[in-house]
Amino acid sequence: MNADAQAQIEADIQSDKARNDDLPKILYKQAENSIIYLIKGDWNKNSIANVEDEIAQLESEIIAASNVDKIIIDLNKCGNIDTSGAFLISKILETAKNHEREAKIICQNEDLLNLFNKINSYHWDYTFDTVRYTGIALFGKKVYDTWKRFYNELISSLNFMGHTILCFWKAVLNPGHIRWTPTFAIAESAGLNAIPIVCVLTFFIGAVISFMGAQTLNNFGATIFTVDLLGVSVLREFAVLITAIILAGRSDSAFTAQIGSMKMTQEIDAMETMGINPMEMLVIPRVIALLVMTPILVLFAIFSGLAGGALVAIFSLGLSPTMFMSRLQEVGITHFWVGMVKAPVFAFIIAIIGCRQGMMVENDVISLGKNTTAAVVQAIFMVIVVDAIFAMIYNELDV
Amino acid sequence: MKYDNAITPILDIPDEQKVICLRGIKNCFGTKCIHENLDLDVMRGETIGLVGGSGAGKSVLLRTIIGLNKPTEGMVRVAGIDVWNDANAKQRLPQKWGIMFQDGALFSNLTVIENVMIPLREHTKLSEELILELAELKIMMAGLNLDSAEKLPSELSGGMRKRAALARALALDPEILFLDEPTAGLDPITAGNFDSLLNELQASLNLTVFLITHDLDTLRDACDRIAVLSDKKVSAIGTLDYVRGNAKGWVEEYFSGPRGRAALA
Repeated sequence: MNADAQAQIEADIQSDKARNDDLPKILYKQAENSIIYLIKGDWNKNSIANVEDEIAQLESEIIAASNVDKIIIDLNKCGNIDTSGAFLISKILETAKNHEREAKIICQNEDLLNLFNKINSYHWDYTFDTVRYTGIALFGKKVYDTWKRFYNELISSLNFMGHTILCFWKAVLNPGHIRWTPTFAIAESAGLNAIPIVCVLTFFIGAVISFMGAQTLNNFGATIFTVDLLGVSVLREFAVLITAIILAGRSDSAFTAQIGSMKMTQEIDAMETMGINPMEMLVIPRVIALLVMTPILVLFAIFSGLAGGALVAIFSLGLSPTMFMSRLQEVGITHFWVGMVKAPVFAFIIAIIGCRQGMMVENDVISLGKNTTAAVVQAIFMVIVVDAIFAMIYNELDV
Repeated sequence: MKYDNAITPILDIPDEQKVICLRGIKNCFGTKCIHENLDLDVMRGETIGLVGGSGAGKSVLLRTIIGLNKPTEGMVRVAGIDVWNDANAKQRLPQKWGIMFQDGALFSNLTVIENVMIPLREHTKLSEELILELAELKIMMAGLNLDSAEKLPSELSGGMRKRAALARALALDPEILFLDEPTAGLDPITAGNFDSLLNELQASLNLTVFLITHDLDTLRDACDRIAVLSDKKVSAIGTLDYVRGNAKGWVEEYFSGPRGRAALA
């Protein structure tokens, strides 16, 4: 739409508002001990913005004029008045009454009088008792609230984890109760479909490590050790960490949104009343699917990470493929297991965080968005923290 | 009674007295048409109730009138503005109508009072303080306590949500109020209170009300005229007594079923 047309529309709207409207006016006449206000013009939601300040001023004048004890509002000359206009006029009455002045309305139009009576029949007797914090108190409150939220979240997460482990154990003891259809569906959508992205990302990571490593090691004349660097870092850390972070972003948000929207539409309540345990139906299949699929994804990640590194090493650094392979064999299988052991642990963490946040969605759209964000953030946070814990343990074990 | 003779969909009254004017409405989805050649006039100041079987196209008709569902053919005029052909309709109409959707359609991330303040903020130049006070007034007019003003829609009961939605619909002092099943899902006492609230508001605010309902009590207590939607058009219209007296086909079944008899006894 061009500017002219826009201006035309604006003008139309203005004229639409102004067409029938006489601007609101309030005239007043002071007799010995009374003030008569004469209301003229149309008082509606669009026009009263012009007289808002005037009314406020009149109110303060009424309070100040101590010799006046009678306020009369004459509505017989007024145009159309809607609720907002009537409300504004009523404010004069209200002020007068609150300061022990006699106040009344003169009006022959019965409908209008009814409107005024209706507005004056409501009582604003409710006050919002919110305590406002400022300065250092506000800071203290924020710190306290954050700590409390963190603490509650931790307890409830552990609670949920315990519950899931219990259900999982029951499912293992009684495999007939595992819902295989959703398990396979989730294994496909969360695991199988993630293979391309996992491969592409780790491929690039592998290539980058090769490049960076070669540049630095070249200074010491130790270019060949690039292969060791690549092998160790991909096998131990990058493959599993990148996979876990992709799963946290890709699958956890899906888990929370799926379970959360089921919660919002009371589907989970319905399940419970039918005697279906939502943990068994929704959480356990997701946990199993991720437990199975994450190690497979990590395997793919390792291969494509090494492939990326190898490509750079062979074509850019001039290592022969045979040399690369023989060097890689020196790296040792331990590093592979060190990385692989972490996969199911991360899978479990990711699955239960996503499911828990989904179960905690309440009856509104806001909490769905909030919990989806929380699921991804918490999952990535926990993956990195647990990875650090693993590193410390391995350090102590000397592996 | 001024509505006694208004028993045809097209009324012989001056255009400015017709708040809603539908001519030759046709609504088709694929090859299936649910409205064909539908005419309807709504007079200023009346409460008209639209009834019809499930799937008769009541909600589609409402959506056509309020500019959400473009009719295949036909003209819709609301408050003298052509809803589908006037280039400025989308800017001019929201000030003239208030719409209460079936489930309230309150913005779930805002409190009740913020929901009511939205149209006022959007369409007027009033001070924030006055807007707040006006919103409180509308909430009380809709029969809610101010205790609920600071609550989120998800914290309200079904009946309270409907009232909050009504308060939002009333925020701009509309000429026309559209209500989609205002009493559905409410207990009979709450529904009855809603009907009398509607009557009261209509009298003091001079509203024209267009409502869709299945509730025979609402038809009896709150509506001046009733329009029956069947056979793809308004097949019968008039006061409740008239429509009942001349009932044929679906309408007869509607009023003479056990529920109809009980409500109208």
